[in-house]
This record gives sequence, structure tokens and C-alpha cells, in this order.
Amino acid sequence: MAPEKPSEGSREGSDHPLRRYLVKLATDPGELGRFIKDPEKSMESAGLSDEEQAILKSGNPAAIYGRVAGGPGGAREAYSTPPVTVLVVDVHPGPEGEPETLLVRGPGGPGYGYQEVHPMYPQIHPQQVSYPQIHPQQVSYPQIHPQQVSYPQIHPQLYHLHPQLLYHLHPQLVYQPPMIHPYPPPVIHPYHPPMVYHHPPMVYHHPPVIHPYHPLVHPQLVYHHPPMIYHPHPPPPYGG
Amino acid sequence: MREDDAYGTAADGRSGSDRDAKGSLVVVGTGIRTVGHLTLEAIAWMKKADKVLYVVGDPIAEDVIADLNPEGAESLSGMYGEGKPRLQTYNEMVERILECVRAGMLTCVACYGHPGVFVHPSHESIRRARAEGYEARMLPGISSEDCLFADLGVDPGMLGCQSYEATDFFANGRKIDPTSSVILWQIGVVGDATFKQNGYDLSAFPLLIERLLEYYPPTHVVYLYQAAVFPGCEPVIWPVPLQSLGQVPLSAGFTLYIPPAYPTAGDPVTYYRMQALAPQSLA
Repeated sequence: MAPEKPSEGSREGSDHPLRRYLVKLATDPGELGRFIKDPEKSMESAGLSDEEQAILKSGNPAAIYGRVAGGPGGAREAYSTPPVTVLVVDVHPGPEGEPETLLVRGPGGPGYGYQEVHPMYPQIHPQQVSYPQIHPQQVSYPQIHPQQVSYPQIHPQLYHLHPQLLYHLHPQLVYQPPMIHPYPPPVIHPYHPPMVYHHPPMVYHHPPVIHPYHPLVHPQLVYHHPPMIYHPHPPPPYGG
Repeated sequence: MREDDAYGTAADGRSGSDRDAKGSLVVVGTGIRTVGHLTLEAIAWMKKADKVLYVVGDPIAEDVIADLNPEGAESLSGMYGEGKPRLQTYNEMVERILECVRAGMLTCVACYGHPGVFVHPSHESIRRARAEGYEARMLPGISSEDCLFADLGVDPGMLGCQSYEATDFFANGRKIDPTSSVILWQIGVVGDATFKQNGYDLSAFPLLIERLLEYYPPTHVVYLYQAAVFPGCEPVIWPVPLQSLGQVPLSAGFTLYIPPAYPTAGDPVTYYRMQALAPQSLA
């Protein structure tokens, strides 16, 4: 299939002062350093208005995006919405000829208001590698299909048994071999061993516990600094 | 006059097409937060290239690329289509990249984050370019995982860290060691191989939770994470009990971090054998 014509991207409003300023921060380490050291001074020298400075200092990505994308993002948004809430994306059709508007709802319902966000392109993932590995015809069916497992084992007996013996066989053994479900029953809540240790929330790690009888083998214990056994080069002849 | 290097970069600033007709490819990343994550070598390559093909997620990154190379910047984002399989989009991107390389251009591909992490077109275009005899290489960038380690305070060297794409994890029977950290990527698009602007089909999400419950208690707290994109913004970090994960609305950018649930079980035999052998190696 022929590739579609690549888009030119969303470059409307690229001459906006805030946008130009952020581009400069991204490409000029000196300017970024000045911004980190003294944001107000850096923004003022870049000619940003008070409203733009307030937006940038708000820490609200929706408000920042709204402004740099040329939308209605402003100081009012920056102060009226929580700092970071990127949740449910709603698409509202725009005016004719205009692109759709993306709106994001927060977890608290209407109280959170709406925040405009830029479209998050999905991260590219290794699906194309994975799917061939789970094709059912390659893995599952040949292994556990009941007709391939059961019938060859039971059906031949019908021909080798004496007719009188058939009366002693339970009908189900002859005509209805045990059904093997093609899929294993789903395990939803298996037994969980008692939780001995619950990791704390992300901020810090417990120090590794080395039990006297079950020592934790820390990776760093494995590594030994290369012993200074030999010297491939003699020391330089310093001095006279 | 100084010689050009293998990738057609000359110190005098001439572009690739001025010098030779042999195309080449370099793939760079713009980082997750363009302001601060863009590396100097990525900037240099984007400046030098004849063509910069890019897939980025924010307008600042787009402006940066267009600023660095006004003549050669070209977005590939338009190749995404509503309901279109992403693999098809990726293949089209690869074709466009190779088209530029074959035309003799020094081609730079810029992707957000790390260009080699969850970016099929970058790896595939490099592989195919090399197979066709062109120079091709990738330069590292700052990925979402790097941001996660920094924002959540996770050191993968302490307790280990397993990393899976979410759909790959439950569809291919990947195993989990619940005594170490686990990161599941693209949890907001799990089970949906197409591109959708208006939210993804998460009907398979209960299967993922069911699978995780085989390893973790229902009350185990996991973390939904999304890195900050703009300067001055904070990352999204939401602790959620595993049993409640299905009730949280997800966006495509979320990553799931699962901390260890159980203590590490040491191997005393190996430990003592290692100790016994250590003096010999030092002797």
C-alpha cells in the first residue's frame, strides 16, 4: 500500500512568543540554565507577558499546551484546573474545515473541568513481533484439541473388544470420551502466599534483608574489581 | 579540506546531498520532555541532515525540529489513521524513510523519547537500510523508563526490574517474578493494535488484571505513571490497589509500575560457594 501523504504537523502559532521561548530553552543550554536559575528574569528578558509567565509557572500541562498550540489556554485555566490530570479523552467535532477538539476529563467528574491536551500518539510497541507467537493454530489447537487426543485412544477399542464385552462397558466410555476442553479453565483468584513484605510506595527501598540462613545475594557482591596482578606496561621513567 | 565521516557530516557544515549521492540514516530521540531532554548530538544531526522525518507528540518538539532544519523537516504523524492497524502505519513510515535514504539523502529520523524503545520503524528502517548497503545507526535518547526511574525513585539494580509491553505480557504468557519490580508499558492501549484518536478499546483490560492477580494480592498497590512533557510540570503518579485498577480511566500515555510484593529469597548454597571461591580469584 502506498504511504499516505505525511502531514505537515501542527505548526500553527509557531511564532507565538511562549512557543519561541520554549524552543529556545530546548536548543540553547545557556538559556535553559538561566531559566533554571531565575525563571522570572529569564522569561522577562524573553519578552513573555505576565499571563504567559503565569501559565508557564502554573505547572499545568493543559494550560501550557493550550497556549503553545494557539488555543484558548490562559492564566484562568492555569489557576482553575488541577496541575496534572490527563485521563479520559473526548473528541468534539470542530467547525467545518477545522480539526477536532480533544478534551480530557478528570477523575472527579465535572468538578475537574475540561483540559485541552495535545493528541498523544501511541507509543510504538512490538505487537508485530508478538502476534506470530500466539497464533492459536500454531500453538494451542494441535496440542489440546480433544478430537486429536481422545478419539485415537478410545475408538480403536471398539474394534478389538469382543462384542460381549461391550455390554460391560459403560456407554460413556465408548461413545462419549472424556471431553478435554480446548482451553484450560481460567484461573482468576489462585492461592496467594501470605504477603510477608509489602514494598513501600515508590519513594524509597527497604535495605536488602540478608537472613543469616538465606542471604540476599546482591549483584554487587558478585563483581570483583579486576585484581591488579600484572602490569602490561612498565611505569614511565620519571625523573632523571 | 577535512574529510567527511562515515555519516556524511562535514565540519564545514555542508549538507549531505552536496557531497555524495550515497544516502545514510541516523535515528535520534527528542526525549519525553523536549526542553531539557534533547541531546546535543541529536541537535547536531538534525541540523546536518538533508531530510528530518519525525514523529513527536508535542508542538514544541515539532517547532524545534522545524527550527533546526526548516528545509528538510517532514512529519510522519499523518500516516496514523483512525482504526488503522499501527503495524501498517509503521511499515509505511519505514518505506518513507528508506525512500529518502535511497534518494541519496542524509536522512535523520527523530522520534520522541528514546528512538529504540517501543519504536518499531526505527529498528526496522535501520535493519533494512543496512541490508541494502547504507550506513545506518541509532543514537540514544531519554525514554519514559528513564523518567520513571527518576520520578518514582526506582533503582533497577537493587531488586531487579522486568519490563513488558502490556499486551505482549498477557497474550504471550510472559512470566513475572513478584519479588522484583515490573513495568508494563502501553497499559492504556492494551489489546488494541490499531490507532484511535478517541480512546482505545480496553475490553481486554480485565484479562490483564486477572493475569496480574495470579502473582499479586488484590490489595497490592501499583502505580500509574505518566512523565511530564513540559518544563515546570510534575509527572502523574497514581497509586492504585490492583483490584481497583479496572475502575481507573486510562489514557494512552500511562505506564504501570508494580513494586515487589514479596521479599527476595536468597540462594545460600550459591552464596557460600561464591564466598569460598572469592579468595581463590583474589590470590
